[in-house]
Amino acid sequence: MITADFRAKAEKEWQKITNPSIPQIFIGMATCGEAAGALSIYKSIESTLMKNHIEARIHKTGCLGMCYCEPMVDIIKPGQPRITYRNLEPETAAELITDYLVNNNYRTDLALGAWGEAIDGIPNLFEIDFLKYQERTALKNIGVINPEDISQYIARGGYKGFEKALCTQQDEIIDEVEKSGLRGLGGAGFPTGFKWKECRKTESYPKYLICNADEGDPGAYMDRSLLESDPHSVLEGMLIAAYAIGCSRGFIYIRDEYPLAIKRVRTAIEQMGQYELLGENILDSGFNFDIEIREGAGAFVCGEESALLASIEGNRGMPRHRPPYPAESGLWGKPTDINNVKTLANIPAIITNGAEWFADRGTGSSKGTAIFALTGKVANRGLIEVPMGITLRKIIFDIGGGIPNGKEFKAVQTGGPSGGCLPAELLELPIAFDSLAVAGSIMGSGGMVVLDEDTCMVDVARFFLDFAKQESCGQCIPCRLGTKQMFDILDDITKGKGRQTDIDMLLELSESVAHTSLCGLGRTAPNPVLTTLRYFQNEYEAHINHKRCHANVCRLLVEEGNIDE
Amino acid sequence: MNKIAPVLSFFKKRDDKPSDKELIRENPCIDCSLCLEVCDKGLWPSILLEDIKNGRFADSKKHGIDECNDCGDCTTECPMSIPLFKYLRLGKILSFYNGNKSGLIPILLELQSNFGYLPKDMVSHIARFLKLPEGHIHSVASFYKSLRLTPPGRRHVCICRGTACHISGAPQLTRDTEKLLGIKEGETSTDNEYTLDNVACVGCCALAPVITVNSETYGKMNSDKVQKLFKKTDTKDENPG
Ligand SMILES: Cc1cc2nc3c(=O)[nH]c(=O)nc-3n(C[C@H](O)[C@H](O)[C@H](O)COP(=O)(O)O)c2cc1C
Ligand code: SF4
Ligand code: SF4
Ligand code: FES
Repeated sequence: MITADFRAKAEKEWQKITNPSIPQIFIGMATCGEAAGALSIYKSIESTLMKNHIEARIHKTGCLGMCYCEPMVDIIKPGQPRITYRNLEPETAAELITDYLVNNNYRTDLALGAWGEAIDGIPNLFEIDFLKYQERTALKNIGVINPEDISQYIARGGYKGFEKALCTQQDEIIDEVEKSGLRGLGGAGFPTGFKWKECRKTESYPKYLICNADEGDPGAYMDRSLLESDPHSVLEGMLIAAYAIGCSRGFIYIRDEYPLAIKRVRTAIEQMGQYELLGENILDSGFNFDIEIREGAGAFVCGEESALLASIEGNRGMPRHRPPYPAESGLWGKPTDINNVKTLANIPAIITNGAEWFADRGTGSSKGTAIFALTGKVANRGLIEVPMGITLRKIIFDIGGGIPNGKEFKAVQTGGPSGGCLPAELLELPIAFDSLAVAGSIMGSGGMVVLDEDTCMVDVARFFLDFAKQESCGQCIPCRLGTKQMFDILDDITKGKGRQTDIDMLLELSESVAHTSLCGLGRTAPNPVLTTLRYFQNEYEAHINHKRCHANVCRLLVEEGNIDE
Repeated sequence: MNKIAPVLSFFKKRDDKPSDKELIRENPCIDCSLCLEVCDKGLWPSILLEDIKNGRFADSKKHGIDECNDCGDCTTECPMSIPLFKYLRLGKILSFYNGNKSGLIPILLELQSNFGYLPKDMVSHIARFLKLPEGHIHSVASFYKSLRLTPPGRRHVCICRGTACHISGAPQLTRDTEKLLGIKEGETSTDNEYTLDNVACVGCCALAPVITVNSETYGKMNSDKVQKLFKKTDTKDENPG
């Protein structure tokens, strides 16, 4: 066991941070924070502290999910709550340090919120719209702890789920996960407990566990944030899954566009080794398990599970026919369980708090919470975790703060290249696996891109087909050539060369591509076209019949006065 | 400072590097052990080279290959101009995966992070060491977008073409950048300064549209910021936004 001693020590350390004797400064240093300039903020704060001879401790945290407020800094002054400051610049950060730490001025103008209570004109952070409607379980640690320090994770109840699992029968753990109703958050929504059971049942050894962190959906970054801000929650989920299924070796497949996530996971794995949470005879339980990082190399199709297996084996990432499913014959022909990052991050909480607690939230057959990366034309862009069943309107207008610059909402795209665009009429739609499927889109892995009146829906469809065309592995003809043909037609339409027959042709091609492709990429590639045709057919018609693009996006139509190139 | 050097002046320092074939078959090493003398880490580079050439990765580990810090002194010193340290780098990567075929993609990625691309001669060596047909490696390398077989320019510019960036103006950004740098997407400028590429998404979608230069990420880009970004060519510029 992680000795009670160690846990107590970690908790005491954490107490010293949350209830400190010297000021504690937290700087959000995930990729988005760094891109927004967190590094220069860090330097500026460091030098200001030095100049003023202030003794303080600086922590690098991940991202709180409020990307629209980056770069962000939190400060805990002795006797004060943690206060979050937003949109800092190196100069304002320096001012903040002298004003708050030296002169006791809260700098309300820079503050976003105070943790737990409102003070002096600073609202309670968790009461502001962006956070009010969220329920954070998988994301409970992001932006709160230093992701490179395992003891902070442990202090906040980390690895309790794993300890509990070690004292439980494997079958009982799987039952618990099954009862919770957790469904895969990687896109397909397959019941996790069932998948584990299948894999456990297969009599073949060794068994492998893979965490799928090949977040390929362009325009989404939930997995990246989670791995950068709280890697241990995912790794703990992997430990529990491996123990329950009986896997002896694990891989975490991270795309190489996420160097910081790779670095943080590497650090986390090293620290787990130091605390006997990996290797042989973990915590004296007789359970052996090791985790290895594998980097993806920029192929979207490698997120598909059988392609991912091929990639780990050192081959081209080409999907293969299923069945046999990986749970029967996966990596090197052995039973393999593949789960998404967010699915695994939910596991520790389910084991600690029980299946009922998890199943309490959500609706119908979609339990628990959904994690989305809210981006595009929306005021508050960021990472959100909301209970299943919440409406699109609540997400976009209450949490997201609506459309900026007084523009009109047009559609919301979910599920990335496999999903679709939902129009304003569907804003009251509750978010769940089934409801989204009925509307023609999918839950997907959590990308949610808001489109405003300046977006041309034909251009969006063309964009996704361009993506599918480029990322198709080329194995099956319907996908390789079908997406190309569909792209060509859409391209013609956006260039003012659309024909009357194009819409029928698109529908026909969609049907054949969707029904005759081998893997999910080809099967879902027509979705963006089908949904835009279903909800925005008038835009297609305007392009074809009147050579007009109402959003002024399709350039040739606009600039060259409807004349062919 | 070293005792053998005067004796060695007798061998004329080669002007050309030995070819790969020479290296493998004939081994131009004359056992002068100068590389041993010069290595700060106390390694014997020529012995390590033998290990690697013969695919004895376990031995190369035993002989301390992981300690090599890529200083390159052995290569400068070698009277026969054997590119020792290039091979030591490759050997270090291969020995980490113990010559295991399934490590092919990480090996190629690692190789690329060392050299900026996959040099042809290195690819042939990997094929030999892993006992794979060279064609297989080329088929893998051409499948994955991150792997490149030609060297990129000094500054590798990638414009994000993800959904969030696309609707926030990435196409216009691409046109601007193409005009500014005078190259099309996928090309490298003639002075080898810039390579322009696209990337599927770097995960900073909230800051769309995004450009990366080498591994720096720049968010909320627009035409003006692009101008500024590429104007100050020589300095390692700070974030313009
Ligand atoms: C083209 C394609 C891309 C996919 N990309 C991802 C991905 O990036 N991340 C992911 O977790 N699952 C992805 N999946 C789904 C996986 O195949 C698989 O269903 C998932 O990893 C299972 O994990 P889960 O049960 O936790 O959802 C993709 C599927 C397809 C067809
Ligand atoms: S559907 Fe497309 S991506 Fe999938 S196997 Fe076929 S060609 Fe490859
Ligand atoms: S490159 Fe490596 S082996 Fe050669 S001298 Fe430097 S440390 Fe020694
Ligand atoms: S869409 Fe450009 S960073 Fe994600």
